[in-house]
Amino acid sequence: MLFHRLTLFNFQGYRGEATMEFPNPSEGEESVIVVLAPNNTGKTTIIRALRFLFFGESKYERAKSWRLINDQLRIEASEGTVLEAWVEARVELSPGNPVTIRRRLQAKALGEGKAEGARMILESRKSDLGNPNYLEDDGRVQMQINAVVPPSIFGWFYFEGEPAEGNLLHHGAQNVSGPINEIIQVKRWNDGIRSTEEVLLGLNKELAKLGKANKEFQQLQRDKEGLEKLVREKNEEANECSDEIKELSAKEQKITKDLDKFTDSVEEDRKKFAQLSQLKTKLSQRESSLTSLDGEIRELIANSNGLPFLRAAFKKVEQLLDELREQNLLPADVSKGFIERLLRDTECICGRSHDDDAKRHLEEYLKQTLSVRANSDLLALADCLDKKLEGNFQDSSQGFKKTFDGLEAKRAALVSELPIIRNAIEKLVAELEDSEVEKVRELTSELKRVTSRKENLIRKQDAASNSCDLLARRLTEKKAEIKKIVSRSGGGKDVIRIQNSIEIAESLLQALTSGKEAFRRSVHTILQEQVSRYYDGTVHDGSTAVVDRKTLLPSIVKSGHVEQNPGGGMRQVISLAYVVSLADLRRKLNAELQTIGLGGRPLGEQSFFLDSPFSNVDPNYLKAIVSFLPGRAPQLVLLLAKQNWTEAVRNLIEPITSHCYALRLHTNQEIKDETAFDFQFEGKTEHLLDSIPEGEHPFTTFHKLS
Amino acid sequence: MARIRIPNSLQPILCFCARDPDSGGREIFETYAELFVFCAACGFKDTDGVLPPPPEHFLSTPDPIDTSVFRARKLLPKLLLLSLYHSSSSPPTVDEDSVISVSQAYADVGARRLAAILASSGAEGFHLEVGKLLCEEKGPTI
Repeated sequence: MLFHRLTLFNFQGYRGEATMEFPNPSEGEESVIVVLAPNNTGKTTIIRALRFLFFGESKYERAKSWRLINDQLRIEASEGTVLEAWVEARVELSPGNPVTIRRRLQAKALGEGKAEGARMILESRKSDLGNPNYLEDDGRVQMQINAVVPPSIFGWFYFEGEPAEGNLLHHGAQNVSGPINEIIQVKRWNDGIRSTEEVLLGLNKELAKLGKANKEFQQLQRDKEGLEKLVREKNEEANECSDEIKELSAKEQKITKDLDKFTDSVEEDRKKFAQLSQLKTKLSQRESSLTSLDGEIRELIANSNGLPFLRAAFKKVEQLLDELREQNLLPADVSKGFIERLLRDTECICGRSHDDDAKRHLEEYLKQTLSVRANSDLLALADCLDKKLEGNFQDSSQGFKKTFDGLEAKRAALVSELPIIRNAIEKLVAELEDSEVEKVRELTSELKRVTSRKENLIRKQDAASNSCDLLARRLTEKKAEIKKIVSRSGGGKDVIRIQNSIEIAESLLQALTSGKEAFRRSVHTILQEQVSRYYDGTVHDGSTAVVDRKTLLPSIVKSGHVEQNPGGGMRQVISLAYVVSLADLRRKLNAELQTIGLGGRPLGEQSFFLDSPFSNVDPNYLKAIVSFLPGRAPQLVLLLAKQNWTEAVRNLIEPITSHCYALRLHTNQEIKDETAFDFQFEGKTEHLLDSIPEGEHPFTTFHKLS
Repeated sequence: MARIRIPNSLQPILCFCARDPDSGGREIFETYAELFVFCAACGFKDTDGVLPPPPEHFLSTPDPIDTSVFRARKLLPKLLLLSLYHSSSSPPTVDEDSVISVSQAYADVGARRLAAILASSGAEGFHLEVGKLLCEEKGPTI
C-alpha cells in the first residue's frame, strides 16, 4: 500500500491538522521521506496513528479511547461539547486506485479534560477533488484494509527499531509463524486438503456401508489409512532430504570454487605458519626451562639452610668444641645427672663414705658436666663441623656459590633469548594477519562439514525412498483387498462408482499435499534467493543470510556458524532484507493466485515507516542499510530523533531524501538543553522549539523543510 | 619443652614457606622452621656477628615452634652454632634458653633484611637476590 498523503487532526499531541505529502506514487516515483523529531514530540505517534486509522486500535480500551483526542482541546471544551480527532490518509488499497480513508473519533466533553461515549467512524471517499462527501464504511473498506495490511503483519512494515518487534531472526519462530503462513497463504492449501479429506471420509463411509462394514473391512480400512499416512511422511522426509542435498551441493560447488582461488597465494603463508608454530614451541620450551631453573635456584637456597651466612662462626665454635674435648667434657662420659645422684648419696658406689675433698671435687665437676641432651646436641654440631665428614658445614657453604653462579648464568641466557623469540613471533603474526591460510582452513573445514552432512542426507533419503516404495506396495495390496471385500459383498455399479471417486479424491489429496509441500519449497527457494541477494550483496563482512526451510525465518551464518546474537546493525540489515523480500513475494503470490482464478487480490507496492532504525548500528551497517533501502522499497518514511540524525546518517540520507518534515514542539515548559531541538538539514540549522503562553498544553506541528 | 617464637618481622616473607596458605608457587622453604633458621643465619651475616637486641613482638600465627622440631629436622646445630659463638663462659654455656634468645634476635634482623629485598625485587626476583646475598663474601671477620 502506497501513500499519497497522511493527515492527523487533533490526534494526541498534534493540535489542528498536520499533513505529510508524499511524492506521487502513481507516477512511479520512489520516495524517501525523512521526519526529524526531537525526543518526545510525537514521532512514534505517527505509527500509532496508522494503526488507529487502519484498525481503530490504540493502547486505550475502547471506552477510554477519547484520550487520543488532543489534551488542550479536551481541557478547553465546555461540558457537553462534541470533541473530534481523526487520522486520514489517501492511499492505494489497490495499485493505481487511490482512495481517501478517514477514521474519526468523537466523544462528549465532561469538563476538566475528561470525556465519554467515544465513537469511531471509518469513512472514505474516492475523489480528492472539490469537497465530495465521505461515505461511512459498511465494512467493505475495513475488509479491504485488512486484506492489504493484515493486523498481524502491520508491525512488519510500520515499526519502531526492528520489524516484528525484533522476532524475525530464526529463534522468533513461535511468534511469527502465523503471520508468515498468512503471507504465503498456506490457508488456501489447508482448506483444499481439509475439504478433500472430508469428501474422502464420506466416500469411505458410503463404501463401508456397501461392504457391510464388517470387522475385516474396517481393519483393512484402518491399515490403509495408516499406510497412507506413513507414505506421506516418508515422502516428505525424502523431499526434505532432497532439498537440503541440493542446497548442500550448491554450497560444495561454491566452496570448491572459492578454494581454487587461494591455492597459489597460500603456499608462502603456509611456510610462515610452520615457522610460527616452531617459534611458539620454542618459546614455550624456554619458558618452561626458565620456570624449572627458578625452581632449582629456590631449592638450592632452601638446601643451603643459610650456611654461607654462618661461615664466620665455624672456626670460633670449632675451637670451643676442641676446648670441651680437651677438658674431657665432650663427649660427656659421666653425665650431670650421675654426679648429682652421687652427691645426694652419703657414700660412694664403691662403699666408701664421701669425705669433704671428694664432695668438693664432685661439685666442681658438676659445674662443667653436660646434660645428656646438651651432649648429644654438641656432638651433632661437632659432626657438622668435622671437615672429614660428608656434608659438613664448611663444604656445604662453599659449594653454594659455584652452583648458584652456574644456574644464574643459564637463566640469564634464557632471559635474553625470550624477547628475541617473542619479537619474531609478533612479526610473523603481523605478517600473517591478512593471510588467506586461515580462510582456506575455514573453507576446508566447512567443506568437510557440508560433504559429511550431504552424505548422511543421501543415506537418509535412500532409506526414506526405500521405505516409501515398500509402503506404497503394501498400500496397493491393501487397496486390492478392500476392493475384493467390497466386490464380494455385492453392490455392483455403486461400488465401482464410489471406488472410482475414492481413487480420484485420493489422487487429488496427494496432489494437494505434495503441491503444498512443493509450494512451500518454492517459497523457501525464492525467499532464500532474494534475501541472499539483498543481504549478501549489501553486507561485505563474510556473513551470509540463510532462510530456514521449515520456519522460513532468516538467520545469519558466519564462518559456518549461526550468529546467535548478531548486533551492531546485522540484525537490522537482515530483518529489512527479509521484510522487503517477503512483501515482494506476497505481492507476486497474490497476482499469481488471481491469474489462475484462486482468489487473491492485486496488491500494490509496500510502503515502510521506520521509527529510529539506526539505533545501535555501527557505521558499516549504517551504510549497508542506507544503500539497501532506497532501491528496494518504493516508499520509505524514516522517523529520526536527534540521536539518530548523526553526521554520518545525514551525509548518507540527505542526498536521497525526497521530502523532509520536522516536528516542532510548542511548549511553555522549561527546557534544560535547547540545543536538543537544533537539527541540521542541508547546511541549515532548524530550531524545532516554540514557546506558548502559560496555561496552554504543549503540542506538536508538522513543518516541511524540503 | 622450650619453644622458639617467630618475630613479627617474618610476616612479609612467610609466603615463601610451602606450609603458608599464601604461598603461590614461589615457595623456597618447606617449613616455618627452615625459614626461621635461614633468617637467623642471614641476621648473623647482616650484623657482622654483633648480637642484636631481642625482638619485642612475636607473631601469634604461626605458633611458636618446639625445639624438638628443629632437632628432628637437623636444624638445631645451626642455631647452636650461633649461641656458642656468643658464649663467653668457659666451658661455654649450652642451654636451650640462650639458643632460643640468640636465634630469635638474629632471625628478627635477618627477616627485616629479607623483607627489604622482597620489597625492592618483588616476589618474582626474590630468589635471585637472596641467592646473590648468599654468595657475598662480606660478613663477620673470621
